[in-house]
Amino acid sequence: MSETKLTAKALLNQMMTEHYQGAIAAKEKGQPVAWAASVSPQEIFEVFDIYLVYPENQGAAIGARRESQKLIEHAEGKGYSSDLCSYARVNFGYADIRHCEAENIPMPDLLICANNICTEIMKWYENLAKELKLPLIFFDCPYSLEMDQTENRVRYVADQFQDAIRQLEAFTGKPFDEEKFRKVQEISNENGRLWHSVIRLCQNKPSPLNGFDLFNYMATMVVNRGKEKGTELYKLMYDEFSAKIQSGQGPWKDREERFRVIWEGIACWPYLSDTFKTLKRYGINIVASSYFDGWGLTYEVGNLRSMAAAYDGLHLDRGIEFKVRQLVDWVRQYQCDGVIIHSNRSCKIMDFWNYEVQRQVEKITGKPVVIFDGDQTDPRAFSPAQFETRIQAFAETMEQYTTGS
Amino acid sequence: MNKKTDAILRKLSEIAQNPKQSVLALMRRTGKKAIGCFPVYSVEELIHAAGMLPIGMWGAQTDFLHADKYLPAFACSIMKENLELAMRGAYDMLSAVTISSLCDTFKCTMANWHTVLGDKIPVVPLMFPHNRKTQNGVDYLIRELRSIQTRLTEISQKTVTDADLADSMAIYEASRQALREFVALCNDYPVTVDAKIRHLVIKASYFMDRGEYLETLNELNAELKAQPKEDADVVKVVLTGIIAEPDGLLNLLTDNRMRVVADDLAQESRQFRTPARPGLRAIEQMAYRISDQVGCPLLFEEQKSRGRMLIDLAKNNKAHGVIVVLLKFCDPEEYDYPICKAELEAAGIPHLMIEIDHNAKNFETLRTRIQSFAEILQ
Repeated sequence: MSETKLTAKALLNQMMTEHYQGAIAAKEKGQPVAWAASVSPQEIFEVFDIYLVYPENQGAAIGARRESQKLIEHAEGKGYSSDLCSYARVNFGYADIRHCEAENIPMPDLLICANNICTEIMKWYENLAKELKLPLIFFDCPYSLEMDQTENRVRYVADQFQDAIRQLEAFTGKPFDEEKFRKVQEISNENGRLWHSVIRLCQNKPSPLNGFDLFNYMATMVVNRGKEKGTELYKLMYDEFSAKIQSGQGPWKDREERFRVIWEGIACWPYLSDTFKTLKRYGINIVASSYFDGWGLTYEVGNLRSMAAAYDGLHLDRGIEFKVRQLVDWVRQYQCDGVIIHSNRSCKIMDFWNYEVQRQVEKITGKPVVIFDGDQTDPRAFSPAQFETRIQAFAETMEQYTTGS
Repeated sequence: MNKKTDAILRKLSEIAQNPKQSVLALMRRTGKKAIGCFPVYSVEELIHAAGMLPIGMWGAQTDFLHADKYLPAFACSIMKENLELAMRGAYDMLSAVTISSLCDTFKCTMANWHTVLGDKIPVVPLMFPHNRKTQNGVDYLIRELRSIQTRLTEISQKTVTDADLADSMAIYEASRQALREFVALCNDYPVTVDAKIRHLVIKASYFMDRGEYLETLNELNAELKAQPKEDADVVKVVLTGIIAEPDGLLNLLTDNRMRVVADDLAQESRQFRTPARPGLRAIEQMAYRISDQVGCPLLFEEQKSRGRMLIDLAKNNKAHGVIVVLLKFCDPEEYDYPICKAELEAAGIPHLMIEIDHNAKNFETLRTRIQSFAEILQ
């Protein structure tokens, strides 16, 4: 860290640049590089000094810089259906072309996957393993329909951590360092807690953040969850945003926060600017999202079962009751006026319960819930004009609810 | 075709084409409760051992009045049909349904069913492991099967002993062996058994008492073997996918002189191609059948052997080509397709990929494509 105090945003940019440059440097010096699913148990891999890069993160960056379509079309040319996850299609395109202007990552020596965010990712990595002829360490995190996780399923995930440790000892030729593992777990938990404390600052009215800032900061939570430099950033974020609250600053300098909403789902990366501007035009601020929440994993350090429960406990691996309770709690805690749900054409696990969630959340909270059609990275599946129309009607509805008319 | 063969084929076809009447008649006759089994894998042996009837739920054509309120337009047509039919009361005779979590659509369908229909027809969730080749994965599944067994005995009110389960496993294993024999025999009797009849004989297994089905199928196999082999000028194809329905699709194959010489369909051979390991307890055999299954897109498999398997199926059965019957919006199948495509092409085996909607009523576009493929293969 230099002596000149950086802002959180500058530090974020610096960290992401370092992350990608570091990956390329690691590859050049022979350090093993792995492509990993976004909520993989990174703690285990940090212990073995494996450099993790995240194709989902890269896909978001490629989408945001409007470069996804050519990679998607390359994958579709090989026979991949346009119905599949667009992160996967971007990555299949990248795995062949191996270059993009937005953000390059080195080719991997190892693949790491966890299906706690969806099952599609399992198929995605299965294909990568086949095409690239690489070993794949896969963590199967069973789904929980019920509110409570069962002991058997948590034990199965913990057993897979042990299996992975043995696989990595064989892969790297190094013994597992228990002490280092504990240290990484401590850092990961500290970062998880700090991340949650930053998110909770948005409970302040007005929120010191606009939700699109968190979409950007989230990238570091994906790549730096187990690293001390992550801690530095989250502390800085906390201090900076707390200071904004003290001075009464809201999410934007030139507009007041009029409506506070939950955004459910991934951002439309190719249309980040369009969606940001549209929401801002109506004074709508995103103050919560399960997308932000998902990376703040905490558990009992030194307890593998507890860590397994955390990795197997994500909202995307749970039933409707869990999801509804989470949203209802947030509507109250974050004083929300409504909920925006992104019906993401890429993501069945996020979409196929939305209608029921919408009905239940509206009924319990009395707040409007709107669903719009889009996609995380495929620019062909989103229409800015339709989004605007839908948000306009949503703002009018929230206005009516607020004024009671 | 002799009269007995004709009578057996008629009986099985009628059952397969009238599932609801068949199941209601079976329930009346046996006095047993029925458990609906969603695709693709269930726990039939446990349901059978608990004194209940496992019934296949592979969808049926219907208009969507209710399902659209739960699943969007880009969801699997079979899952939408099952939800729709349940909400219309078509499955009111079921005491529960089993739904697995093997893909995202299953997970969400399970969640929706549990929310909207759970009080009437409860869900028994099946959390099969994807890391199924490791000892930890198999041990997990055995423990999971035990807890499913407890849940099923609560529904049936009948205790299941290991001996009961072994008896049920024996019946299921014998029926799977008979099914493997039947699909092999089909190749020698292309006149008697066309694509649709082959499918209906297999499909009938989902709506019959398994012991009775075994007996009927053994009779059929014996009758077929007693007849001279049939020689016909047919185009031999291998089918791969979830399901080769609606029936209009299979009629198109027959119209173009195509016969199915082997399949890798979830509704058909994937159910019976993997035998149980001998010498184990029945509960372990159930777990290892999931562990030993290969080439199924719903089950994680790092080596992805499906393409190789299709090549072998085509070569071993002297098939002219492979038809990939891709169920629209089925992502496990959609991920496999480019890999299989490349491997089939490298092996010089012609293939046709057709997308099907299980609820489709019009096949004119498919007719042209299948006709062209048949002409190329001749």
